[in-house]
Amino acid sequence: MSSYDDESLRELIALGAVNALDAAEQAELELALRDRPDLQAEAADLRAAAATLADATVTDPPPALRDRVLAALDGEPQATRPDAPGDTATPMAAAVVDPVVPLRRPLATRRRWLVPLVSAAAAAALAIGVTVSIIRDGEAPHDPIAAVIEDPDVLLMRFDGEASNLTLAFSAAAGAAVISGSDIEPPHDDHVYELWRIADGVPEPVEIFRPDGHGTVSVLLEGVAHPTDAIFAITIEPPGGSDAPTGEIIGQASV
Amino acid sequence: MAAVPPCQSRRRVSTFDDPDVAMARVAGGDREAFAVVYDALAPVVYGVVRRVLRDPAQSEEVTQEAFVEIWRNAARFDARQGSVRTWAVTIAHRRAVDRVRSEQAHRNRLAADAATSRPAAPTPEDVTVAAAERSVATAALSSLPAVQREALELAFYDGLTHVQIADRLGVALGTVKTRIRDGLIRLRAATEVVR
Repeated sequence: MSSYDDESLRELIALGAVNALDAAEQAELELALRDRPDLQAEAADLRAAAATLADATVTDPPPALRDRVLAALDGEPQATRPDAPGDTATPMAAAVVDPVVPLRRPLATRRRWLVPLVSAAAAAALAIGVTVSIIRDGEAPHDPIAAVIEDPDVLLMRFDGEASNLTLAFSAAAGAAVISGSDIEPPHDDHVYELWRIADGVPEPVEIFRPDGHGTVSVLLEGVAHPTDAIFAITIEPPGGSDAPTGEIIGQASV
Repeated sequence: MAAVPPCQSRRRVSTFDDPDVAMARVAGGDREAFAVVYDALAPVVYGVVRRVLRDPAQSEEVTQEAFVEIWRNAARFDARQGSVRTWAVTIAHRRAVDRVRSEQAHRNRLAADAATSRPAAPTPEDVTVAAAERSVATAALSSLPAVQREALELAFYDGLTHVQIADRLGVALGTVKTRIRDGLIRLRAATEVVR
């Protein structure tokens, strides 16, 4: 990610290895690592080093736990093997896998603010390339942001220009996207950032957002159509956002 | 990290006790293979969860959740990214940290903490099973400079974020980051030497 130089990314990797990041930071780290296969070996190494700390606490569990754990497997579905397990190939390849997604126009009424809520468990899932209990026994995902970010086929798009700290993650499986980033300056006064989806030259409003007090953005975007052939752009708009862009584009992203 | 030597499981002693070998079969729904993985890794998984949560009942619960997750996601385990042991510890530790960062768990932990400030003293049985791996880890840990060890322990055993660690120690965030990273790198080197 352009917002991290190598040194700060390496520090984040170490913090992530001992789970010393909060959930949003952990999610950021995982997104950044997807673009840096060269650093994934280091991440694995440091996790192994961190596991040494667990070796120092080895304790036999109560014998009865074994039967309970084995019994708990009943009815637990197993994930199927990913097409390319652990393959560090670019997630962008996902774009061509599933080109047909129902195009759902974002409705104005659908716009809403969502608190950045990435649970630590969801962030955990990212770090180790697994899906945790987001969808258990057919229940709805309890954390829709996590469902997007942890989708193994998530499609990541970086914004350029002044918005280069922002990433758009699109999950066809979750039918949603997440725009996230850190170190984001709030727009002046009560202005907002507005995200647009531009297809055939026509911008459609997607969402308005502002960073939280720490400069973090993590907003769920429901009903975003598949990004193929579309460009996403960000402008600064007056409070409440606009129906058509009035500000200049500060950054754009595409597949 | 080196694969777990098969002799570390006390219930079965054979080359098939290697959880890395067994894991491939777990992905295919093989419960016997899963039992091998459980037997080999339950002490390290339960141990770390217990160290973080302190509360025995919650620790069992989280250990169970972690193993169910291992079962569910066995197909996603990628041996190129590390050993099953590291994978299992990562899953379990994350779940424990998740739990401890929730308010209620935190209260329970403080209560349990008042009773025992250190992890439960190992029983003679634990010692026979775990002495070897514990001593390697303990030796590696004691080789760290005190400030690095302290930062790692606050993160890994107490489930604190780097921000909380900086607060607790009254040092800059950057200092915490450096201590943790240098500590892990040194730990990695120390473990390699001992092994």
